[in-house]
Amino acid sequence: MRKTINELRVSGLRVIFLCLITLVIIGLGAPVRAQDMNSREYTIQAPNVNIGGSNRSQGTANYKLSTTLGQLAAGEFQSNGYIVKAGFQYIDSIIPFTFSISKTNIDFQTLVAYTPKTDSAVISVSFGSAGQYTVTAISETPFNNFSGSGTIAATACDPSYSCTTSTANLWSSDTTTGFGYNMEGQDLPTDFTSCEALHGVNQCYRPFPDRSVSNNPEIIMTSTNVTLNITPTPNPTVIPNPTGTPRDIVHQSTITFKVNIPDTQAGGNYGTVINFVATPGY
Amino acid sequence: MENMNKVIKILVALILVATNYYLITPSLVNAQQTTLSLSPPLLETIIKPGKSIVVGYRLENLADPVIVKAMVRPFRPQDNTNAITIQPTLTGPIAFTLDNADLQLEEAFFLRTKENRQLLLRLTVPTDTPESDYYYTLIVQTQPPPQTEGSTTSRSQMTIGSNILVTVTATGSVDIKGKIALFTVVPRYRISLLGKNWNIVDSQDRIPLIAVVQNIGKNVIKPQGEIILRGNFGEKASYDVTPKNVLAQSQRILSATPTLTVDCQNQPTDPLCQTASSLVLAGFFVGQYNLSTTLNFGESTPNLYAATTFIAVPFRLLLAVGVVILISLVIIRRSKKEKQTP
Repeated sequence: MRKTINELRVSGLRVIFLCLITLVIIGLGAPVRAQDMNSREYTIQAPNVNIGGSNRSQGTANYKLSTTLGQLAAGEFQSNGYIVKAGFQYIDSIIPFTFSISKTNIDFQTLVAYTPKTDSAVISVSFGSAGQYTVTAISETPFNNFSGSGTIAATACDPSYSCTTSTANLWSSDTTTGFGYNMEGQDLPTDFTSCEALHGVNQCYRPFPDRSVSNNPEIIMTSTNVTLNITPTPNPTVIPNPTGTPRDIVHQSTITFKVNIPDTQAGGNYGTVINFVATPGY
Repeated sequence: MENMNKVIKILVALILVATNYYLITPSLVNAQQTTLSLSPPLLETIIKPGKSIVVGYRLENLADPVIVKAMVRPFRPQDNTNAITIQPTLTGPIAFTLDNADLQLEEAFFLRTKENRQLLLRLTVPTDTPESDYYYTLIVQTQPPPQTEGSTTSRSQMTIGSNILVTVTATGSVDIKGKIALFTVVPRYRISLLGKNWNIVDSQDRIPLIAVVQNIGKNVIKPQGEIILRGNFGEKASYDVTPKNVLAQSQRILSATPTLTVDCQNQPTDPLCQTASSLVLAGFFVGQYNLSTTLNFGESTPNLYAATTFIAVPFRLLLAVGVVILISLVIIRRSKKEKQTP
């Protein structure tokens, strides 16, 4: 059976046609996957087994150890010359300390003089095994343009309502320029909450501390003793039994970045890096 | 030939449809989100000079892929709460390295979504290390996203930490010296009378208690014990002190449970949200109350004792009763007068 040239062409086109359809179908549904970055040298398997906690006395009698087992490398292991404790002895939990920022790139696009621009991100902290935490913020670089010829200054808030890196105050005027942030939500510093009570929601701002001038990071969220699920009924005639059960709770706040420039601001695209540091208590 | 033309036409149409699908259909674009978790959140070790230990940390990326690097930095307590100041550079005698074959401290590595990495942190104490406490934080820091072309942007870098408390001792004995620096209630009124300070509260007041422990030794201490409230009529309540670390040469506000909690998010101006306290008492108090605490820092350590008193007077109740009596008297007088007038 010999095929004519035309028949061969048609069958060849059919094959191409089927291939294209297959490619289109595959292309529509295929997810994009990142490359597997596992080490080739070895694999460490570390199962996270919750086997409870205990109190143990140390032979030296100078100290008493209390441990919480169940975390990775948790509990106490003792050998000749060292003792290690992992986790908080008063919280029996394997929930890890987790920190989240909903948006890491705050894009103000093109700035126009005396036209404030804002953008927000949600900061979340889950502290199941930490019990207490602090989140700080600091500007790692000044808010410079790329040519280095201009800097957007830190805000000083509205005239007669001056703010500092640790004291929030009113910034509502369109003629007030600079770069700053507002916090709304849980576990806020008292300057934000008291200012908000006075001036309303989303009106109070602070400038970021600046690492380049040796400022220290400033606390933007903090909480202590928030993990324990304890009934708040401490009437002196009743002794409630605290459960001490840890809760996997997430505390959230919204940070709103605000920038406004004067008409004398040098042209160009500006950028800065804000470092948010979350640490559990000690 | 006619068949071939048909096939070519169908092919072209299909290619056009597929191209349009990709070009026209808007795809969902999410902002770059970063979520990291690190455990354990705290590491405490007592170690001899010349020894070395390895501790496994679990680092997990719960959001978009990120490039991170792990570092160790010393820290010091910032105030008497739980705030710390992380130093910008690594100093001190303790040496830190990662035992992972493919990871090193201070070097960036990729962490894809939902990836778990175990960081095997080796802590080495040189033989000539002086006996003392050394405080560090293992930090994992993300690389900020790239600058957007043609825009003014603020890019966020995220850092998550876990504290490491190292006590170096050659003999195993540690220097435990602590004292109660402050043990007082925050009353409505404080009156000085007969050479004594009297704390006066209303019976229905919420009464904050501030207890501060000062560590005057060279090593970390962990106060434990209880706070007892005793009333004039034999009533008694006890509150457990949460055993938290007080670092060497520093102070820390204790916390005790159970305590009244205030919703500071919805009541931001509440005075209890403005200052830190160890315990908030609530209830109906009448008469003189004695608050005392007995603390120790572990077995074979001396007990520390402190006490304070407050007097609860039902001002509001008395005022309400007074007003009622006054109104009643007025009504009685008026009714008497009305009866007397013919």
